[in-house]
Amino acid sequence: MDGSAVEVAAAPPLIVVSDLRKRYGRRPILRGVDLSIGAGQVVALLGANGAGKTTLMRSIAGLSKPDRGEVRLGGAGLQSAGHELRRYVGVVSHAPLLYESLNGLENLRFFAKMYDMQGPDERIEALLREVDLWPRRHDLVRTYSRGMVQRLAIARAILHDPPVLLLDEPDTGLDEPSAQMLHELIQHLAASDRAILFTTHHFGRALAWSDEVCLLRDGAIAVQRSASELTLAELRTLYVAKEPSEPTAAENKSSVSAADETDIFSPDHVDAGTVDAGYTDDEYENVALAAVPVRMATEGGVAAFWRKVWAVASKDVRTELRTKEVLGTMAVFGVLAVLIFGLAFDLRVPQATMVVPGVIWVVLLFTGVLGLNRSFGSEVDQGSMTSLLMAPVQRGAIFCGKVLSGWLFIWVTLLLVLPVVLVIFDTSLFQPWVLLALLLGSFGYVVVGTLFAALTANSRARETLLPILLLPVLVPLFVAGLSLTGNVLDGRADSNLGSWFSILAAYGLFFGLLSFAVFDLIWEDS
Amino acid sequence: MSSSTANQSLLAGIGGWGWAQLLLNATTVLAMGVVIWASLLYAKPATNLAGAEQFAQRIFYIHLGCAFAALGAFLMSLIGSIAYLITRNLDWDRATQASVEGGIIFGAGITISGAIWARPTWNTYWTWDPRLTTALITVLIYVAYLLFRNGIDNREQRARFGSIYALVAFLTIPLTYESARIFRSIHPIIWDGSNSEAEGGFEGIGATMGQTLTVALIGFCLLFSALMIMRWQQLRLEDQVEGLRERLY
Repeated sequence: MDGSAVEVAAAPPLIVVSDLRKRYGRRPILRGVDLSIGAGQVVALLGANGAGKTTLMRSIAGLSKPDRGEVRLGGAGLQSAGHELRRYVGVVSHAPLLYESLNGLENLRFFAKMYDMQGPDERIEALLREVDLWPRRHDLVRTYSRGMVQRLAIARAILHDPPVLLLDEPDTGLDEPSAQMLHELIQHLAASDRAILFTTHHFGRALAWSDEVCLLRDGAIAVQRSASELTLAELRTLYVAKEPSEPTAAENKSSVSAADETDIFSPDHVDAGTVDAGYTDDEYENVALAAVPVRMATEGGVAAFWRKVWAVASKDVRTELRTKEVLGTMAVFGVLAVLIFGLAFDLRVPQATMVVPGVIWVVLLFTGVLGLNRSFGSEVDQGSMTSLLMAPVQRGAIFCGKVLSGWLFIWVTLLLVLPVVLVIFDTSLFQPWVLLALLLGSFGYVVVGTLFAALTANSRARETLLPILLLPVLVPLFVAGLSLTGNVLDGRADSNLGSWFSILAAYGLFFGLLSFAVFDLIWEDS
Repeated sequence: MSSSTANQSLLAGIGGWGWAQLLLNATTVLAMGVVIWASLLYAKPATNLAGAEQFAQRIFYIHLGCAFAALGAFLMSLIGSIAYLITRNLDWDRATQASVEGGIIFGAGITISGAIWARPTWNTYWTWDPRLTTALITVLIYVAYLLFRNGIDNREQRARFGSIYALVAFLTIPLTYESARIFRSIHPIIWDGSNSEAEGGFEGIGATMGQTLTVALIGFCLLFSALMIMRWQQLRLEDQVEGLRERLY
């Protein structure tokens, strides 16, 4: 580290990062970062592209799992504390992490639900006025300018009044008045005991806005100096310097031997142990609680879980009503498919109705894929998935919310398509057993489909991969649904009716539980 | 380097597990030779069949051997995927991938050998019999696994997502198998039960048939083990090369 070390902050540190290491593949991104930020302290993190700034931010936010080392927020270990600790962090990224098809007000209301805030309207109004977006609150985010989106992203980050704020290039896209507003906001938040870490490529802002400047180089903190001790020229010199005059402590740590590097992924090399900064748990708790004056819902457990499930599902429905991207496509594709089947088969022969079960289930499978592809795809594309994952919400609630909205979309499509099948094939479809078979079958389908949609959301060519992964796995469901529907429509009192229903129910139940259990694994390092 | 030094370093490289692997590979080659000999020459023909059908019946040893090896491979992929999700050791992920690739090869073996047998027996290479369909879908599920892996760039993410898919994929198979069994099938059941509607089955397994079948099952299991270990080593080397490349650039 650079010669003039900074004095330890008087307040107990809210952010403690110790020996943090992270690799992508075999490429080391963070090579043993140590950082401590106290309440009321603003730290600017500088570094060239690829230095590891965003990875460090994501690790502190709990979005990226470190290979080694530890992050403690308010005294609690990020890995051990679980999703509740996310309540104490607010993040602004260079991506807006907002829902483009919701308006500003709806975005903040949705995230207020995710953070269990009670009666949030007053705070939302205050925040929207603070960031000068109150007059535009009913406008869709996609109609906002870049600066407005960034201001709304800042409002979202501080909505739940977190004691820890991570701002990854928050000044990107802001004009000078907006940047000034952001500076004032940072000062105001620091004055009320928040710990703020922000990254920027703007040296002047780094010095003016922060108490301390950290320079990240090759995945380790190379320089850590008080902002008041540095001039712009000195900071530039330090920034461009390849090697500091003396090896720093951080660099000594980062220059691990080849043997060490090889061992990083070995099972014996997972945990670096805990950090003892010399503060008691009570002190940490006092700081954290004092910094969160917003009202949170008191009820937890199952009620809070289902409230979030409902919030995710209703947000999807609201988004769909605005964009009409999924339902419209599914319905039109479904009707077209039925019409094509109608043209393909000779409907004058009495046996024509035998194809009806096949038509229904094939249409269900193919229209469903269209909807499922958008389930997580659009969230990942616009970055809103990241903000959802940063909220103190169990991954299972996100999964259930997505299943609920996906199931609803499939049923709306079916209710539009089935009358067309009825008219073209002249078959009485609306029978209780047929509807029950479709109800159970579509549930099993959406459960597995939602899991696979989440799996493929981050992969290349997800549009083509999802059906390839999904359709073979759906065969038992397809076989059972097809046989059941066929037997009922034929009026056959089939002894296997119970067996088919059992397969449909078992499929939905078994894969529902399995998907719920493994869903967390998908997003653990997103 | 002189040839004696080269031989010495080769032998040193083979040492330890290398010798065990060499022994496994040699045993596998020998066992597969015995399987072919026993299937074609040693096993007595099925007495209730005649002509081309009787000769085609001999493929049954290869067919069942492939089925046994494929089952082992997919079971191994299940174990590998669970072990990876628990330990996060990439060796388990490599074991899953190697097993799936082996399983696909043996799955293709089941389908091809079945089609060759079906031509003289059922007078067609392929029919949408539930058993045949099930086997084909199983292979397709695992082909999808390989395609899926190919679509993910991050190594750890590829391993994690691949393991989740392999887990779900394997658990689908019993359900697929069960749902297909409810349908009537013309596929003969030789092992564990019978099928009155089967076409082309043979009555009972005689002494030489039983011995040949045992040798075939052992031989194919050895073949799968040898292939899996070699592929696992190759995948390990691929990762090492990738790591070196990343360090260089």
